[in-house]
Amino acid sequence: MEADLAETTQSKSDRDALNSWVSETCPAALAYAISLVHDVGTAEDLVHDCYGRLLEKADQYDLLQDGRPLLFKAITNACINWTRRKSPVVGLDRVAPPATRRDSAPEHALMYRELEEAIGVALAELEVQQRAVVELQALGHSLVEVAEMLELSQSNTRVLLHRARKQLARRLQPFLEENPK
Amino acid sequence: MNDSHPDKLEAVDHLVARYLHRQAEQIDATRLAARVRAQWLSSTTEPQMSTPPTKERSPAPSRRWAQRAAWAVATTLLLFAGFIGGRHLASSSASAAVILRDVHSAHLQDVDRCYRVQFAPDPKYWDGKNQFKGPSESVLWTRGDRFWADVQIAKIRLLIGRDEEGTLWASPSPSKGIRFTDRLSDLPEEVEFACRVNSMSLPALVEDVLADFDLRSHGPSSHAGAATNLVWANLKPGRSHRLLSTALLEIDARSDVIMRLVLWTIDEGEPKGTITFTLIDSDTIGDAQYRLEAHVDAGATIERHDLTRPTPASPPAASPTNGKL
Repeated sequence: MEADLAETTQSKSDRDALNSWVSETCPAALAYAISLVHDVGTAEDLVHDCYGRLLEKADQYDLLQDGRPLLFKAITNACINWTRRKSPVVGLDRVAPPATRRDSAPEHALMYRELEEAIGVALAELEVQQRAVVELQALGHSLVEVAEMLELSQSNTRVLLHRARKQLARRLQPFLEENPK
Repeated sequence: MNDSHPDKLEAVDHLVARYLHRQAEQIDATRLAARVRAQWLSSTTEPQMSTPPTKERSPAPSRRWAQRAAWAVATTLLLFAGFIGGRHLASSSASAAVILRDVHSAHLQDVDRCYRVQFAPDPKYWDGKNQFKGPSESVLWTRGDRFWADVQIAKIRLLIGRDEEGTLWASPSPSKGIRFTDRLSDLPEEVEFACRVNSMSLPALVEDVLADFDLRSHGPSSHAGAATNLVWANLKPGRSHRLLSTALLEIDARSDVIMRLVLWTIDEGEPKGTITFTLIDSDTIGDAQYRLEAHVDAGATIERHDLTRPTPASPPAASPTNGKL
């Protein structure tokens, strides 16, 4: 009886911890998926499925400790597969000329929004694998981790990252000149 | 400073990181998180029981034909012949969900679709004697929740359908029609199952019929020059379904329309047979075709039947309400 109760309590505690883990990781995971697939509904479905598969194996993994990289790996692969399966449709609003600073002195908020939009467009123009590499790296994953997530060699990952950064630098040139960091 | 200058590349990283952080702050992920938690909790806490077998009904003689016909239709319209295209891409239940969402949109269009429905009984299920258990073929028209089918079982021909108000009907001959007064939720499980499947109504099919199934996509593959996606539905671990073990949906990758649906059916846990729906036509046939009146003669006898089993406290619905059109 006591053993059952202890087990139940432990189980509830684990469940609460995993619930918190879902809540904490979900915004970043969803934002990342949206950035890769450019569609909120699709991103939600893909992320939902990735969580489902990980949580099914919650007894095999220490998700609280190692779950984040596993989650992002699953999302990366799901999004890349989805993107490659679908024809590469890029909305007209996503296709824009290289970012340019406005001539009139913008207010801070406007400039910030302009920058956000420019980054979004520049990322959207990257090939999905490059996008994944540069975003995972920006999210704090090491090159080794990113290579492992994408199941690529480190040298290939480095090349992808370099190309992505270069292209982004070119597209965001006006902003980088104004505010390098 | 050129594009490859380390400072510039580092600045790019910084911008991307800030951008992603900002996006995560702005996104409302509460709905998704709730969805994830709900599914997970249901899979860990739900009692994993099979659907209890329905009690044997003892219908009044006048209702037996209607029940038998409905059962026969359910059996007949349950599906199919195996078709498995090439599979070469990684499976993904996520992409399955995406594919099915597109299918849902495609099937919401105001288009009537016609499917050939073939039932091939499992040799262990059919001993060649009971004609109601044997092979059958029918033609099914469907739009949204509506459907009507021309069913041939052995020497019996029967029309069955559901109109825009959700009323299930059947007609064994032009001079006779039957309306079933039950709501869909009140129908016997087999009949309800057949209605949901036959209406090809997504998400009813996916959310209700396949609720206990894991969906995984394989595709796109190429069959006869047309790109198709295959979605397999297999029972989730620990789940059971009284009527279905596996389903396969073959979906046109361009139009997102279900080209073929195969159901592997079971009876008391044993293979019963396959039912195959194959798309053969798309057209606009009008609302009237889904009504009983379109398939019986003027002046035909119309009976009203109740398929629900009588409760001990209430008298059995033994006498159908007859009426003339």
